[in-house]
Formats: sequence, structure tokens, C-alpha cells
Amino acid sequence: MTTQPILSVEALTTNYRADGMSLRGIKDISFDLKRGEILGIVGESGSGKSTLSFAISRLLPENAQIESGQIEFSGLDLTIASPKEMRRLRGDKIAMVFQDPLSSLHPCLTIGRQMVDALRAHNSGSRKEYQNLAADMLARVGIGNTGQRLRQYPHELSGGMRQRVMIAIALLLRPDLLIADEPTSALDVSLQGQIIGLLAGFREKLGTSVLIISHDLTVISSAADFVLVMYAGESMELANAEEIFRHPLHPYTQSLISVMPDRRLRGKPLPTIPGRVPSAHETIVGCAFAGRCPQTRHVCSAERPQFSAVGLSRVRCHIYDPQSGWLFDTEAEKPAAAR
Amino acid sequence: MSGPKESAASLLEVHDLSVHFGEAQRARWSWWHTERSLLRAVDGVSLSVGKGEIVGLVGESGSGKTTLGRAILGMYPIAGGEVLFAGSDVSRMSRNDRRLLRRRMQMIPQDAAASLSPRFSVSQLLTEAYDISGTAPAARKPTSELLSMVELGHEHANKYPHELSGGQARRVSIARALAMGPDFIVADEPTAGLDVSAVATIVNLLMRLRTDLGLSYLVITHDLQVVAYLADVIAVMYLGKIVEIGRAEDIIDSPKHPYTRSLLHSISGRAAAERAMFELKGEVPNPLTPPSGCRFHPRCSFARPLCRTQEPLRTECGKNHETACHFWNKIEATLDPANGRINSKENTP
Repeated sequence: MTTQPILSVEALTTNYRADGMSLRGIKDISFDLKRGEILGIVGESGSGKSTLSFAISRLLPENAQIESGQIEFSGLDLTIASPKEMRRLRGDKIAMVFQDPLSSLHPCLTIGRQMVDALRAHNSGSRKEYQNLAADMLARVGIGNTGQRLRQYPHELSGGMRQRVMIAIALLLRPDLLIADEPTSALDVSLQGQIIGLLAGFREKLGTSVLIISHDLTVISSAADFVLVMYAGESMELANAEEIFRHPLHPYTQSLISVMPDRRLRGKPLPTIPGRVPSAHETIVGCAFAGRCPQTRHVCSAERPQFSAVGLSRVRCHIYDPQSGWLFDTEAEKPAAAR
Repeated sequence: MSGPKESAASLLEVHDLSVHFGEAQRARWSWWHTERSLLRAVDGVSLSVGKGEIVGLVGESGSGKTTLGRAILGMYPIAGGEVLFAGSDVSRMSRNDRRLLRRRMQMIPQDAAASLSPRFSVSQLLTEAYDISGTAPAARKPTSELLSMVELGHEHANKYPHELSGGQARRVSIARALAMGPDFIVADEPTAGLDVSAVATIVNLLMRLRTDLGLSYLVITHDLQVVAYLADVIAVMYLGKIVEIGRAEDIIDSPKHPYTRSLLHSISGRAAAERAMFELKGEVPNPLTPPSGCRFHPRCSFARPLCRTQEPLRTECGKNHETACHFWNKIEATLDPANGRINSKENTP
């Protein structure tokens, strides 16, 4: 593994137009993804995790746009890449797996045809050769009887099988980056493990870097090396996957973990996060989580916290701010304008 | 609280219930489906739900969980067995009696948002059941009361389903089920598709309603974390059969059936070597052609020749704990007891 990041997102901000207004998309997102690494992105619905994945693959809907920031992929800035360049990259170097495999596969074409089409879009080779490649890839994602499967249509396959086919198509061209948006949300628990194992296996064998997006912290923690926690379009915490579960730093991450049903709490009410996610219409002045945070102070709703480094993690929270933070301070609250 | 054996104080008792699909279709479409066999969606299931008890029904998709829930409410014809609710047989009841009984048994449907008519406002949705049943105005609960029971503000009464969030739609579905003042509710995937924070609030709501109204639930879910927290009794279904049933803490702490062990291993926090042994390979087989013998044998890493030929019966493997596996005690003996469960907590005899 080299240390050079394959994907480097720097201060990425998007917005979208609706009702004649410019509304907040994602704000100031930064992370690096190295070759062969798996980054998990977690957040509740509306946190902007899918917007981030669409922005990276430049597939944002028409009313949305990248406002500022950079997306560097293999030395190329994707924010200024032409549609033609993007078309060449997508499928070949950047592949995507979406949540619902039935609506992403063409219902009227056989699995084999769809796989061969993906290869033909980026290469020139014989159909026979491609069919062999397709059969080989199906076998690698754990689908047996490949000759017959290639002649079947999506509706003839089970949900888990379809998701495997999606992954097979995505990996056919040996992409450098695989973006998997909720790859296991529509699947049973037993299949979730299989699909996650599959993604992790290809990282080992092909050195593919993977971006897994999920609302399920459990799924993410078992697969990813690093986890980025998003809330209301902002990055709240970026940390090692094991670390984030054991020592979550941001109060939001702590809340996310504490609200998971835990059998040790049987008979007692589960903790909840009061309030709701701020809507895209609301302007956020301070910390996006301030209104729901159990540890909030004056400074939180007045000033936007920095994404500061704490150990090996990065956290956007005033508690950990090097200047105004009260991490080590047990006395009375510091004045808001400490800096 | 009653396990599978005690049933004296049960509100609901299901004995050897079977629900089959396909016979009617075979007659109608014989030219097409010449060899279409019977789909035994629920095949000889027995369980009971005591008063104020929460029974969790878990299993992968296609295991027959929802079919069982709907059959209990009399929404599917029963091929065999019986459903006793408060002592009377639901399956052999006249249409009229069943309509009256149905007020005491309600359902929270699987996809809350899709089950609410987009053309009805919340207050219309909540009074629909009263209109259908012809409840006298004096006996109706006011809309605002129903809304406050599910912790929704009065301002939601005039909203339409598309204006509600996923969690709010779920609450309206629950309020609809509460309108008739039921004793028993089948909650089909009450937390599926919700954000973690919303899951916690819905789970808390279900618990509070049980305490306040003395409700009993059959909670159908594939979310083991939810069921481990919520349920008193857990029943594990696989291809139309209950493979293990017992008190929640016994099922979670010392599962006996290899399938239950596998399901629990798919929740994180287990040792890697253990996980490999119990990782579920492949998918649920086609229920039209279930495997012979034990239906789980093709995916079971402990399967022996006997499993292929002879179907295991539900046998007692602990107090109020039953499993349908030929080799459950041998499997348990082979495994280090400390590793065989989630927490290496001491087992109470």
C-alpha cells in the first residue's frame, strides 16, 4: 500500500436550488482515501452522505452543484473535469453500487448482456472474451452455475444475488475506487455479512479503495478502516473504525451509539436524541448539532467549530478545540469569545 | 409470562398452524404451471402470547414471519391447525364474530408510509376504523387523544401522509391500530427503514403503550438488536417452521439451534474464528422446493446424514426453551461454552 491518497476531497461544499432559493447541501467536507483503504460514511437520512457520493462521481441532480472545494482523484481534479472525461472515468476507474439493485439493473436485458455492455463501453475486445470475463467475475462474487446465470434476467434472481451481480459489474473493469451507497440496506442480516465480506475481499485481492455509505454503524464498523460521521451536511468526526466505537469523541457520535437498542437496557427506556435534524432551509450559525447536544454551551450556537485533530481522529466540536475547548477543563464554562 | 410450555394464561395460542399457497393458482393456471407445487409458507407452527407479553418473531426474508402474523389475524385462509384468541377459535369463526374479535387484534403494517392512503388526512385515517365498524360517536376516541397516545402533536391532524417523516408515519400507523382499543397487536417490522434515533423512539413508544394499555405484541422483525431489547420470548423462524423458541435472554445468551447461532453471529462483537464457523453461506432456499429432512441442513456446518433424511422435531433443551435440531446438545458440547454465546456470562441453571 502506498501512502499517496487515491482520492482526496478538500473542503467540498455543494448547494442546490429549490423554491427559488439556494439551499445547503454538504459543507466543507475533507478526507483522504488511500489505495486499498475502506472509508465508511455514516449519517442519518438527510445528513448528505449520498450527496457526497454523487458529488464525487459528478452525478449530482441538475438543480445541485459543487460550490467550492476540490475532489482530486489520481491526480485529476474531478470538480473541473469535462463530462466526457467523467464518462470515461465512471465505470472504468470509479465504479458505483447502489442501494436498490433491482432498479439499477435493466429489467429487459440479461445479466450477461449487461455485464458485456459494461466491458464494451470501455474496451475493444471480442464478445466471447468478455463473456468469459463476466462468467469469471460472477464466480468470484460467489455466484455458481455462471453459464445459466448470464442468460437470466434480473427478476429471476434473488435480492442477494442481484446485489452480487451489481458488485460484479462494478468490479469488472477493476476500478481504483468503488463507491457503495447503502449496499446492504435492502438485504437480510445474514447477507449483509456476506456482501461486506465480499467488498473487503476485493480490497485485499485487487487493491480497490472503497467508500461505503450506510446509516448502519454496525455494518460500517465491521467493514471500514476509517469512519466519517456526517450530520446535516457536515463532517462531525473522522476516526479509525475500531476507535470510533470504543471511544467516540463527538457528542453526536456518542448519541448515535447510545441509541442503538441494547439488551442490557431491557426494561428501561432507550436513550433518544431529542429534537430533529435541522432542515436545509435553516441557516446554521454555530455547530449543526448544538440544538440537540447534551453538552452544549453558549459558544456552540454562536461559532462554528473547527474540524480539529484529536489524537489520530478529527472532530468538529468545541469541546476539543485547541484554544477554546473545555476537554481538560473542569471549572466553570469559559467565555464564548475566548479567542 | 409464558414460554412455549406454559400456556394457561395465554391470550393467543397458535397450535400447529399451516398456511399454504398455490393450490388455487394451480387449478386456474394449470396450462402454465403444470408442475407448480404447494408453497408451505407456514408449516406446523405453535406458539403462544401471554397477556402483556411481547413475543419477537425473527428470521430472514422468506421465512414466513409476515404470513404467520397475518394468518393469526385471520387475513389468510388456514390450511391446518388452529388460532385461539382469548379462548375462541379465530379460524372457525363466523364472519361476523371475527369482525367483532378483530377489534381486539390489530396490526401495524410493514411499510407504514405506503399503508396510509395518500388521499386521507391524518384525522381521516384515524377515524376510518370507527366509520367502518360503525362505532357510536360517544365511543370514539378524539383524534387529538389518539395522536397524543403516540406522542404526536395536535397540529398533525390535518396533514397528509406525504407531509410526514418516516417516524411520524409509523406513529400514525400505531395510532390507527390503537383506535379500536385492542388487546393484541401484530407489529410487522415496526422499526425497519428508520434512522437509529427514530428506532429508539418507536421502541420506547411500543414499550410505554404496553405498560399503559396492557397490550400484548407479536413483533415481527429481522433486527436482532431490537428484538433482544424488546421481546420477552423470541421465536426463530426458518422456511415456514419455528426452529427455536424460548425466553429472550436464553435465546440470546445460549442459542441452541445452529441457525439461531448464525443469526446472532451476524451482529458484531463475536470472535472471528467463531464467526467463520457460523457464517451463513448462501441464501434461503426456494420455499417451493424446501430441502428434505431438516430444512436448514444445506447451510448448516454441522449437518450429518441424518439431517438430510429426517426432520427434527421441536424438543425441550432448557426451561421454556425448545429447539428443532437433532444435534443441538452435541454442538453445544463441541463448542467451548464460553465462546458459544455473546457474552461469556454465567448461565443460570
